Amino acid sequence: MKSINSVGENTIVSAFESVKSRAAEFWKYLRTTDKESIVSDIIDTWLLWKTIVKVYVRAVKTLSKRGPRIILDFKKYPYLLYAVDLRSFFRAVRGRKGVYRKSILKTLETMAGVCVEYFVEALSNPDRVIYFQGSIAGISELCRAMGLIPYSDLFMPILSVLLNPHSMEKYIDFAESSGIPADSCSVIKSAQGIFFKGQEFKAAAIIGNNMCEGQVNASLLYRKMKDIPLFTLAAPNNFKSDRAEEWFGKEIMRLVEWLEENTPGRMDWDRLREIFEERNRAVEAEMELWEMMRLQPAPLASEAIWLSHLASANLMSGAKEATEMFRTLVECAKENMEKGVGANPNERYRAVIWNPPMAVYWHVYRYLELKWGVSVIHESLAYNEVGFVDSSSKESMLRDVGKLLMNAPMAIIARGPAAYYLDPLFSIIKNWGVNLVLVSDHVGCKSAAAMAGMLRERARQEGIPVVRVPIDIMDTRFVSKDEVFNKLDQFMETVMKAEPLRKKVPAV
Amino acid sequence: MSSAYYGGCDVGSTTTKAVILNSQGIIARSIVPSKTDPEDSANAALEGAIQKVNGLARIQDLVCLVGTGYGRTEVPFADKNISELSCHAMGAFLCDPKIKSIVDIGGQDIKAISLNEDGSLCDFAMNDKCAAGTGRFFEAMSRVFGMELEEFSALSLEAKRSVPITSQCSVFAESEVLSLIAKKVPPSEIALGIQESVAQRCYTLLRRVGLREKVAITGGCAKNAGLVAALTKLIKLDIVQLSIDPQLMGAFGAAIFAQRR
Repeated sequence: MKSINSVGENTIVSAFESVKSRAAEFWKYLRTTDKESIVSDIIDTWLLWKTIVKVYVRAVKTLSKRGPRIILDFKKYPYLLYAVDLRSFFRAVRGRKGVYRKSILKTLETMAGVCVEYFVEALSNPDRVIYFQGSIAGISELCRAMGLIPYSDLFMPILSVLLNPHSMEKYIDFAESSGIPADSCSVIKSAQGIFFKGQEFKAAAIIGNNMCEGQVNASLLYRKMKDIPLFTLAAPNNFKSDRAEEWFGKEIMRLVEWLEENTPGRMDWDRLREIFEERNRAVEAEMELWEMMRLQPAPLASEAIWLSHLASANLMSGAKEATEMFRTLVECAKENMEKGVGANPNERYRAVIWNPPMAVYWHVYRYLELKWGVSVIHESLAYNEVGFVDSSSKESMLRDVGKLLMNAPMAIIARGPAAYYLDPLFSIIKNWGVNLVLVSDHVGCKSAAAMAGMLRERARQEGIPVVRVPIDIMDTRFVSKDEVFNKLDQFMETVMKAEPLRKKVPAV
Repeated sequence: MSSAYYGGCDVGSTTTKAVILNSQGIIARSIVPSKTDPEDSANAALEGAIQKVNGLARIQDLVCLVGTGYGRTEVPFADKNISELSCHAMGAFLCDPKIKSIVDIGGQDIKAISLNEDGSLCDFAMNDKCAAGTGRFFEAMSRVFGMELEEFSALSLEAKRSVPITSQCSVFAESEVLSLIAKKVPPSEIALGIQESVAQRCYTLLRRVGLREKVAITGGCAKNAGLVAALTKLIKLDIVQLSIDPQLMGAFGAAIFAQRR
């Protein structure tokens, strides 16, 4: 009894101490902060909580469409539970203020809302789900126009680690113990682990691709193991040519015909046109945003750029939500532009992320922003050479779907000559006033590793500092968070000769 | 003689080094085994150096103390902590301003550093994922041979040819060496193979940051004559003989930073 009372007492005492110290902190904040800043902080906090409530209300409404089956869904697909805890998402705004915070919240709100709808739709209509390997820009629009539901096998793994960096470890381990080589890409291993455990969403068909060696292996695996139709899209290696585009456009038509034969989907060309026109509206807004990112200081940064694109390309390409999101981001950027302020009030360095962002430690970009004044103003997933889709004819739309797929970010790393990977980077550096390149050396990506030396030498010739961070973008066990952050600190201190703006950055 | 003393302390994974200098140069130095707590290690090393200086009674008597160390291990009571990369760069540059490439081989990691003309750091690369090629690796190897480190390092210089040893993993390298010894392969040839595998690792890192002469090796492993010879042969450039103990380079650089503050 005595020990329980002591535990109870200790708990009450420590809770009281915690409240007391918080109150003291708050009182110090009120005494040392000017009125304007306090008002602005109150508005920021209000906006955050408003967004959180909106997201959860929308999620509950959407999930309620599944009724009690949702409990079985969570049991059958346990990784969906990671999507319930969105704290990691919303903590990304800590330290970000005003319009910049608003832009990130808009991105997160849109992404969270659409995700849940996407799952519910896929769970409720398995006979219409098309499982696609990799980034689905291009395929997504095609499937929607056919009344099908596109589902990328990489989507849930990436979303899960954004929310919980340890979420895919058991799937990676399961894939490895099932025979997948340990040095294979862990993004794909995560998807394969889900697959081996039988936790993948039910689908009517699979579209495989040859974007990279990992995708090819996964494609072979799915072909052997799954009892559902599989079509492999094989894009040409040298894809920036009229001949490649024409040929691959015909392959896309072949895909459409195959889907019509093997699934309930039927192509509605008018619907496809409408979807691409909506996509073009979103792209127009996104390109306007990119134009504004040339300003110094950049009016927005970081998640408002890379995460917004990741979400739109993989979840809602051709959907009105994407257009609305980008238009809001443009408004936010304009607001900052008119005030003559940047997203990052202490912008000292303008960075581009080349290679996919560090999904397990994506808060590192916030850390760099707050500690070292680094604004991430562009990145490789967001960069889009294809631009608008020509919706004037069936042939032009099919050709442009092919172009979207061939120019997908991971594709330019893994196929074609090195120039396809390097030239866009140096073009961005020149046109956006970039003075720092952040490269995540994802351990499973042999293609990117093969070009590491070329990137380094070219950057050295052009006098652009490049920091390469060895990492596994899906697995914290390869390189710890401390190691990544320490390496970046060392780089900023020694190579960039920067003084930190602050000693400690509030954690997320 | 000036009574202003400046201190540099480098808390490494294996040893902690301290250097005290004044306007005349280095007047005291100390190397002690590192303890679990970096503060204890720093205290022990600094006390060891301070005892050798007449005008100093305690650490607080130093005008300025700069700490540095492995990873972000800091000297908590230092006036400032500076990255070990910068400290090694500073120290080596002051020894010879023509040095442009440095490979620092410490207890648990290897770093390659390239310098600008003014001695500031241009780029760096680290091998901190594996102990292969580091001080720990050499300790393990010399244990396998049943020799002291100095004896082991000289052994490779006797060999006429080498036996290739894996440079991928120190654990595998150890078992490989054991099996070669069991097959009665001459120890000097095995030793040369080990030196060459480490030299190859250093060379890869140096190339990554841009290998330019002059080249220097810092860290405790710089005293390994066999490794220096193997690396010299590989990079086809002479390796600078530093005017102070290469193991103290980090602490020396830190002390210089302290003096310049």
